[in-house]
Amino acid sequence: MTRRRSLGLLGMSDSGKTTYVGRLWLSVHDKVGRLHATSLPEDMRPLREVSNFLLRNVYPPHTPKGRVTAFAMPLSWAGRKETIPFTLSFADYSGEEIDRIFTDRDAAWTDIWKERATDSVGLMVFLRPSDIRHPQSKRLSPPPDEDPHGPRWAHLRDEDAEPVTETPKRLSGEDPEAYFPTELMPQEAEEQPAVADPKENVHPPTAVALVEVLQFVRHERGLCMGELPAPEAFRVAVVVSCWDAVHEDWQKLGPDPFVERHFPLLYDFMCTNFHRESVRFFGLSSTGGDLADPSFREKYEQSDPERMGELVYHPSPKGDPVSFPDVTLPIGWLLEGESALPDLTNR
Amino acid sequence: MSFRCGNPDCAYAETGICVRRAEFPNPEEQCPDLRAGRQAATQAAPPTPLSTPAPPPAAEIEPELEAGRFWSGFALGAEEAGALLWAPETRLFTLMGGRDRGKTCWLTAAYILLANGFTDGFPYRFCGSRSLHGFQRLSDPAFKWSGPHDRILPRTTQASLRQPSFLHLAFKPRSYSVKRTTHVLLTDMPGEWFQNWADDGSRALPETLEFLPRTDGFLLAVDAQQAVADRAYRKDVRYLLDRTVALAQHSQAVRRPIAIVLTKYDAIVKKVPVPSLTSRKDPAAWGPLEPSLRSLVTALGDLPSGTPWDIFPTAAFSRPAAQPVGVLAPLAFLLDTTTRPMPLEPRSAPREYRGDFFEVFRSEGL
Repeated sequence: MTRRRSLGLLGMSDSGKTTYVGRLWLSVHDKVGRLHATSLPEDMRPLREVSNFLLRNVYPPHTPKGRVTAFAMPLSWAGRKETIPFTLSFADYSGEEIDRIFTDRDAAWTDIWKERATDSVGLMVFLRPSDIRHPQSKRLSPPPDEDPHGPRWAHLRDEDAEPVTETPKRLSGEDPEAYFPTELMPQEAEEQPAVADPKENVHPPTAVALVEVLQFVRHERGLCMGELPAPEAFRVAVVVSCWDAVHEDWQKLGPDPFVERHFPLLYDFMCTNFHRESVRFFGLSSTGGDLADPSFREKYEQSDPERMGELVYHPSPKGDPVSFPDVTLPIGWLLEGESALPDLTNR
Repeated sequence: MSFRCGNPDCAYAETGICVRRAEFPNPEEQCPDLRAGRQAATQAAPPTPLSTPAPPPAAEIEPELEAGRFWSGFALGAEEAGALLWAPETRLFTLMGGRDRGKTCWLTAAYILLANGFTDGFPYRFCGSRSLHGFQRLSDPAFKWSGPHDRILPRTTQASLRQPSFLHLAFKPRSYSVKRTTHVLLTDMPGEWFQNWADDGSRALPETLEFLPRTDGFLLAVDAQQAVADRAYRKDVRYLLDRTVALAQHSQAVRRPIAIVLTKYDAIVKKVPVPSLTSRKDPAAWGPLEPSLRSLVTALGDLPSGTPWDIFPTAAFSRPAAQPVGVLAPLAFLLDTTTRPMPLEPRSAPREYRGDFFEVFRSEGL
């Protein structure tokens, strides 16, 4: 009997959880990464279903609300002598569950979630850059580079983009000159038209809902606010999916600054509630491009899906990001920490 | 699922505050009116279409034994807040001001800044919150704001809030080397309560503001536009500050900083440029605001020696761009200057303690 090791997946709708599961299976089954499948799982159906979508050059569909799919992968470490096989288990679910937990609290915190919170050796938190729901009002001015017409998101919409300014103007400085710049003067400026429908449905912002669920997970594990769990006891991999769609300037900077800039509440929460060694930020491209893009899809059809995509991370906190074609690395890191990551000394 | 509480006087669905909270400290678990409202909403809900997979059954059932596992997420009631105040690292900051002076807007703007990472110059990182849902609800109307002429946020009224409620934030210093967590409780109370306190003094405290003597730092919201134009308003603010200073004089052991928060400053910024940091405490530097601030600075002169105070121009939703400006500076000031000595009490309230949490602090003269 092999050891069972559980991971928790956490992510809003369409954050890339299901696609990653399918891609992970293709990788471990074809033994192209650090983790290899030792056999087929007892129940092959769920893994076959999700991975077949990728083999047919399409993304797995949105997981329906209420559906929970349990996965189990019998795995072992590649290239290690006397490695002990283990079964990696985790569940995929509809991302709307996160919204529901935020809203319905105890009533939505099911036994499955309790188990996920306490039994997991680590969590994978999925963030999809093109689907960020901000806590700020639509009526409020967006931060400078989050302007709907700004360069970053223009690029994601395949529009021409101006060069990115890395030091956006902030307004909360102590310098009186910085207070109330002329564009904020009310007397001469034109009134802006309303941009939000008063009856528009408001969803919990991405980071706020995720932070709340992370607080629940920590509470379930008996951790006080701000208490740092031992690094080896509980790791969190924050995964920015669709990394290939992120603006190339951010790709150069890497996932750490990307999350800090775009999910500041979550970033601060991770910094203040976990040891540095317990948290890693990854950029993940499960397919290497957008399957909805016909030209990329054509390329994808000619390739091995098991070898498409990449995983990006910072080997050191302030270091440049590095990229590997091995999407099993976040799983390996969650299970074993830094020793599971490639040795970069001769790179 | 949307619902209405079974009690017609209760706006729990909108405010997260149960009118029978005194009887049922954990309304989600205990309040029969709330339960009845939820049941009615469940029965009235349309049947799930056959094509939609059914949600897991456990999630549809109100768990009985496990109910109340987590904090409500909304504003904290007196009991929850009182329990938190046993922890030595908890700070209670009271946001004071008359009716319609921008208190709720300031709170909302502070949340929006923190949640969006507009925190340059703010030396703390967000570490958690027991009232994230409450903050989000507070700011939801700002999402739905339909134009520049209507109210951005609804007014916090006596009718909508009958007992004190507190919003919670936890912070850690930005530096990794400092591991200390500071819990902050911020009040969001109707202006009428403070008006009553200014009028009736300590007689007004037991009804609504009994927590006031435990305050670690005060944020006095002063409507900048009104302070320029209305002499009666200036006097009202002064009365409120006089009460605050008198309260601060009671305990010489604890220095409770006072931040004068000039709200809605965007409305006067052209007439009253913001003075430099070095001259900010000089009323003469504030031009048309001088009479108001001179009066307040005179009152502040009666504070126990060494009590920190400062003046902060702010605009929660400065028009037309609606960008919060200067909002986090008074919060940073209070966090930096609060000097409450660490109490010797245990880190959490005794389990058997079920009484009036604030009584302990009153009886100790804190």
